[in-house]
Amino acid sequence: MNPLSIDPKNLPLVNGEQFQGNLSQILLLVILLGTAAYLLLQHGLVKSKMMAWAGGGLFAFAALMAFMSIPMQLESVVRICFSILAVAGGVAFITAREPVHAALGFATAVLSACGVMFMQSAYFIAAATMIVYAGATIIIFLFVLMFAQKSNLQWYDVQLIRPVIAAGVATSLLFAIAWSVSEPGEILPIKLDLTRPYSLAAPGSAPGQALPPVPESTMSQAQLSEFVPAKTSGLGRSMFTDYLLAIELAGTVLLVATIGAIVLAQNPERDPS
Amino acid sequence: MNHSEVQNLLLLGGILFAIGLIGFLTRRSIILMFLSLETMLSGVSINLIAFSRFHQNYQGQILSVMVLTIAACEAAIALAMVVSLYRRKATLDVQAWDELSETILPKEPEGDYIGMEHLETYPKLSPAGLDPRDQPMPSSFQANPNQPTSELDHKTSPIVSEVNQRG
Amino acid sequence: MANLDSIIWIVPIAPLIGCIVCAVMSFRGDKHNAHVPAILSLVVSALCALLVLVQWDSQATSAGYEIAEGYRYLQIGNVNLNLSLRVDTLCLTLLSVVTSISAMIAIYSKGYMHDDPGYARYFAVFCGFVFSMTMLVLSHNLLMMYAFWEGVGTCSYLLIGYWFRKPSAARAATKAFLVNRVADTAFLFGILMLAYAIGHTDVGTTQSWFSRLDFQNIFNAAPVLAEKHSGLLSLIALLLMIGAIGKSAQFPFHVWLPDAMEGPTPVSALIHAATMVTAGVYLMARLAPLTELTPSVLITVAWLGGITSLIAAVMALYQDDLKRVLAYSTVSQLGYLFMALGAGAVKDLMTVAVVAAMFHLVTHAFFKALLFLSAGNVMHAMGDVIDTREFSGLKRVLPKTNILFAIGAAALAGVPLLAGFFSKDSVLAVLLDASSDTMIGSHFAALLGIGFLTALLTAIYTSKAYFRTFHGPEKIPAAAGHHPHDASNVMLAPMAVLAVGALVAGGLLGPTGKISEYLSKTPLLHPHEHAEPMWLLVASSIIALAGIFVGYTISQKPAPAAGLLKSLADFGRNRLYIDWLYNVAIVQPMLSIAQFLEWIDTNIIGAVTDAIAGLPRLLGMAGQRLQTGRVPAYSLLTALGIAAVAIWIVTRASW
Repeated sequence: MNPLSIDPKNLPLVNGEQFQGNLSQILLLVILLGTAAYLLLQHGLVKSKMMAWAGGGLFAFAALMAFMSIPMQLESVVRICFSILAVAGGVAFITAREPVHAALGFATAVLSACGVMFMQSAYFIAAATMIVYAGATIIIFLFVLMFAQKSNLQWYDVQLIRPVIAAGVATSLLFAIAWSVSEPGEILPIKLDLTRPYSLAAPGSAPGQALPPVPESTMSQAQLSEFVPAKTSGLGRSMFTDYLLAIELAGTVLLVATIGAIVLAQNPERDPS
Repeated sequence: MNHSEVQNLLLLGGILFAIGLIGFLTRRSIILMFLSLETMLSGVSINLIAFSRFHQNYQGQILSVMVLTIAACEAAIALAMVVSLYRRKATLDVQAWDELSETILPKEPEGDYIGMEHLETYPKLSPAGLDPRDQPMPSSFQANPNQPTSELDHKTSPIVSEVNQRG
Repeated sequence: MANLDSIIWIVPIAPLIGCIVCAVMSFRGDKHNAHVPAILSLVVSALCALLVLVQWDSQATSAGYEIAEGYRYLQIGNVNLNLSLRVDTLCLTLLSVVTSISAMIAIYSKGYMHDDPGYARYFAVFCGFVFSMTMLVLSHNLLMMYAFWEGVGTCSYLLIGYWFRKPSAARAATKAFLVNRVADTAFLFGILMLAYAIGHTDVGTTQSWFSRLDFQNIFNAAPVLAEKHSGLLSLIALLLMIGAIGKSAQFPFHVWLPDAMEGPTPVSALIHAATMVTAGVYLMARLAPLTELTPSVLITVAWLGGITSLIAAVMALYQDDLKRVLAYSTVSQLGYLFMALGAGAVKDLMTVAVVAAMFHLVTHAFFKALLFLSAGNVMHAMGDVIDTREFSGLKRVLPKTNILFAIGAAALAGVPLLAGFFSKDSVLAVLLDASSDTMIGSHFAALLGIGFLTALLTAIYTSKAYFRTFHGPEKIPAAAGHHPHDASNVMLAPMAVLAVGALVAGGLLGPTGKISEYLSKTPLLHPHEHAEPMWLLVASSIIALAGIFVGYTISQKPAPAAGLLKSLADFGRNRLYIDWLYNVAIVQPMLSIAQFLEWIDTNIIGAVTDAIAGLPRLLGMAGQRLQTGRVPAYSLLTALGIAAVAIWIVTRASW
């Protein structure tokens, strides 16, 4: 039987109608982004300033479309700003000629994405991503870049591999994502089980047996819609109770990766054997 | 949190993913390819967090933590490999590593990117010991636009010999 | 003695162990000591064989034979492949000869093959040959005998081609193998038809294919077959006979034996003179109870033997190569044996025929081995030159070899009271007996004449070769080096043993009736009164002495320059043009067909195959473009796939 035995009809969310208005905008957004990517990427990195301007203009138009599609509230505006910043950073990242510029674009994109995450109350993830990506990874990447990068620009920094095909593939993939997002679909909003806040697994159910029915939520509909799994302590508790094994395994993987990195980076000439 | 918001977030994740994909497919520098991978992963992370928020539980965030962990591992291993690869061929070009190809394809000719509009050409000083007005400059003193690196690496022995000859 | 069964098993097993040890030594280990396991195993084998031979009288059972159960090789349903040994007086006779002579020759080989790079390989194949030969002799089953028949053929091939880098040796090995193959194919057909035929008699219906071919079973079924399907039995006997004459190098298969002299001389002595070539004779003797029911085949055998002995003697007369003289002499003497066996066509004469053939076989093994080893000594001393035109008058240089060769030659020529004299006489006596038959006696009268003529020719060419080599003015080829010397004692000692055999074996075995008495104990060979007339002995003595005198005279004269004798000499020297005829009539047409087939193979079959093979190559070339080995190309394909699947998923509802 379906372990998530919640009748969709009782759910507070309405399906269908809300999406239909956005569909055309989303498709437009996708097409614009694809065109921008094509313009920016064709025949190597930005060949003429006119193309760059055209790409930038298209991008700005897409951003404007995105703004138009949301209600004008502070939270939404900030989120959309972060989103636009993230996309702009990404575009800058893939179109930059200098690797260092590209790394800066990447940092912008990741930090903006962290801002979006932060607004989704994923504080821990946002902080960790900032530390790991924008902190450690970028620093190490830059370090390696300085180690390996020639003093001047190399041919392989500028030339691209099949930019048209790549842009086409990515655009069609994005189109598929946008289409599936715009579909009303059958996504069941699974509510937080307040008797067991950290997991969907019910206590005491042996493998293969039916789960006990999820009890009625004690919160009202309004409370539920405002609920956010806000507390980082809740995430920590969930990690170290329900997902303990997975977390420990992830730690082991990190350890193994550390050892592997040390082994791989060893200079073979200095090997005593 | 309503559907429109989730929709926007998912779309943002998708766009980041697509940008990362374009970068991974087109850039030739190994380091930038790995950065593109990280971009894709951050798009996935946004996706997961949006669903976590939407479903109001921690599962998405937990998965996001996993993504973060694996991304860190991958970055460590990848950088180690880049370093050890760089030791063998002093290049970051991913196309240089094609020893496993079925037929060794002809190398794509390395065209000159100097001719591209955005790259400025700076005026060059005439080598020391030469009169700047001494035109035309001897050919061995011409800066070779195709080899911008050569000025630093060169021992400038032709200059010395030329000066000695003049003396 | 109750454990004769196990002792008889030692006879083949010992050489097998020696073979394995030598083979291992040839790959690693001390190659120069390879003679130790070989000689040891062969001596053990010979002693065991002689022990059984001596003890057999007390052991003899009422059946006259004994099956030594051995090893069940395979069992499928009711088919049992048993490796068992059949022991009776016939096979014991040959077994003792084979093992003792091979032990002697192995000792001789230690000296002869000294310092050869393939020393261990030589002894490995040598022991392998003795193993195969003893198993052939002891087989209780015709199919098992065939297996070891091929085994000795293989060892013969390996030993003829022992110096395989020499083109003539490689060619001779191939020739021997191919000629034997023709005959062996007929042999195999004969065996299979025999099994089929026995299956259709009352005796053999309930038995499996393999056990139908047990010798005892064949002997039981043969009279039934002769009664019901005499034509089929004649055909079977003919096919079996072809196998026998192929192995024994009888006309028309005699061409391989002279070429087989390319192998090392001890090998020529053992395999191509004393033992392996007698396997055909042994097969006919073994199957005597069957063949005596088909007189027409036996007459064919006798005539083939007669023709062979005569033409081989003529060819031997005009050969210059000492080893080839001996080779043709071997062919000729084997023809004698087949003549004797053919005399079994006359009713009730089979036992005497077999006795005569086996007697001559034994004595011939001794003196022919002795002659070959002496020729080996000459070759050794002359620096591998064996052409009698290149040397002469060696009696001072090689005094001991001179004596030994003289003994062997005298025995072969039939000098009275030596081994060859008695055994040859017994063959002639059998033919004489047979010629008195009213129905088919005329055949044997003619064959008796051929026998006398051959005896004369034998004496002539033997004495000619002997006097040319050891008498006359002394002449030594340059290849011999400064100081040619006689062979070492390790080579001379086994020759001395063989010489004793050549001197006294005939006198001990023949006139005393020992061998006929012994062989008559073989089951299904019934004793038959037989007397040798005195005039035959006198006549053959005169022939032998006259032949020796003629040979001496010829050897003192230069070769005839012209005239009838010259053309006859050319005729003999060119092997009666038989090899030439085979080349023109068989080999060249086969080569033409082969070339035609090769043309078809390359241009039609090969072209079609290439075309078919080209199709995957085309496909591969199409896919080859994708395998660039570069990460971006692969990741682009992956991304394309993912995008296609994603598009399909989101749009499938509208499809």
